Amino acid sequence: MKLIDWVKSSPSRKVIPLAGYPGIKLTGSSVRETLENPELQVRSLKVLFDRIQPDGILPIMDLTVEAQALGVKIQMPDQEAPSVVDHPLKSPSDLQSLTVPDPIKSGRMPVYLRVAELLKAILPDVARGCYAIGPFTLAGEMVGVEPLSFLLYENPEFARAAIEFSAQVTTAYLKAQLGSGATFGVILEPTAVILSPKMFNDFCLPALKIITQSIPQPIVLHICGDTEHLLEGMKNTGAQGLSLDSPVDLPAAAKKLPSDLVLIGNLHPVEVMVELSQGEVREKTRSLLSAMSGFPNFILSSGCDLPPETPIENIHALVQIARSI
Amino acid sequence: MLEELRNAVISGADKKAEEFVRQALAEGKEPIFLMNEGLIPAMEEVGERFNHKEYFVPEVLLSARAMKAGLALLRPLLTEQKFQPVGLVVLGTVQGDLHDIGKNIVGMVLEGAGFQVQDLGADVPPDKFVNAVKESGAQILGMSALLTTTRTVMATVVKKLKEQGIRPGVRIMVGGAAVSDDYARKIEADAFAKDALEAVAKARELTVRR
Repeated sequence: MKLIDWVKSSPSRKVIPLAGYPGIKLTGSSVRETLENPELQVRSLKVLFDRIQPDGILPIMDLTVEAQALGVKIQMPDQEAPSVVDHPLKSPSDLQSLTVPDPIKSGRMPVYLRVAELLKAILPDVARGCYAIGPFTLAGEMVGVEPLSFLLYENPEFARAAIEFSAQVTTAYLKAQLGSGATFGVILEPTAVILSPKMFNDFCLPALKIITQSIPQPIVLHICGDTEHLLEGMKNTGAQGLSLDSPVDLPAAAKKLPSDLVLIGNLHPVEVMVELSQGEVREKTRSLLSAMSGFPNFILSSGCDLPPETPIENIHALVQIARSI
Repeated sequence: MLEELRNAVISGADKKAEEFVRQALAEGKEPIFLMNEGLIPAMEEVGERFNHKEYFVPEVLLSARAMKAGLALLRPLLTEQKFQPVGLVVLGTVQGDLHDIGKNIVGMVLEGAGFQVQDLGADVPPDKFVNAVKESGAQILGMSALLTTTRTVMATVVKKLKEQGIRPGVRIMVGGAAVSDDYARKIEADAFAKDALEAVAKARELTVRR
């Protein structure tokens, strides 16, 4: 089913907060265990799902799975999200020695394949997403964001090759998760926010197109931060949904974008979802829903991934308001 | 010559920028003059272009690198001539947080605006910030946090500076995706900057206000 048809399939607003980390505290496990153990992760996702009752479920966001599967050193603290600590891709010959990892046996990719399987088993009728980082973001982890920025100008062939290789990794990993039970894919491409529209169109767009064209299931593209300058390019990627962060004026974006492209967003994950009271979250949610009332192609969500300390009652309030209108 | 130097920085040509500075010095141009009339206005133009969304992060990085290439030649001479930087800034990403690209840009753009920058890197523990401020006598402390789980380190640093009685002598600026104006006020920092250009403007303001 196309994403737009699913969104229009029920009279009430669909709501899927980007919420994984807030569930961890409900189980008493550490962040690290939850990212390494699929059973624990699914238990925490399910507890959170039962508390907030959203229209879809997503795994816990982890931007290091792909790099780690490629042999890059990562740091995994007990209570924080992991991060890549090394950027080993220095030259075209380094690139030649890399192969696309097999998701069945590389790094923690199997954890997420199992999460997709388990979620399908326990929530067969719910929309189930899976994440993979985008080609520019992965290339940035492999090369380093500053060196990659220079390469765009000084060795565009190498930059392009690194991004295209990364796109193959993204594709393989998404396909494997979708094959294991996920029903839609979300490409997380945060680093692309630094690009000019021209650079996005030259380097990111072709790679993202290859991914969406080779995957039959719906793909959502998420880029953090202020992406107003990239909306045109994002529209052309073939993604069926765009997840837009809180700096973007969502109703203004909706006016510019096609009515069959689903927009997802965009309450501020910190300033609203963490810092405000339940009543204030309700108010902010109501005003966003009312501003978006003329646009059926909309899924209510947070602008970006919700931090671990987000009060569960605030996420619940967001879902409740969507249901009540 | 001056215009060529500025253009080299604006277009991000680091080799050219270095060469123009070398030539200008050989012709007897004053280092302070090249700084004030060459590098600083060039980075201001880069800032303008960033504000107008003509430049984005990669273009700013290229320009900053070119500026640094020129500055590397000028710096020893400026030190010799006892050139007074606009102010000294201690800068770093807080403990637990490895995001450093935004912080690096802030550092380079501050240097391009005539500040002296002591960059402590990423994953910086509170005591390291406190000691660096104490030892350097910096006018400004800049801290970056991209994660809500790590931004609390900023509050710890403010608290420690107070405990040691050095808070009144330093202005604190914070930035990064996890912080906001509200958060800056909450932890009693002096300013929040949403990007590198704002960081320069606020750093100037805080230096003047002292």
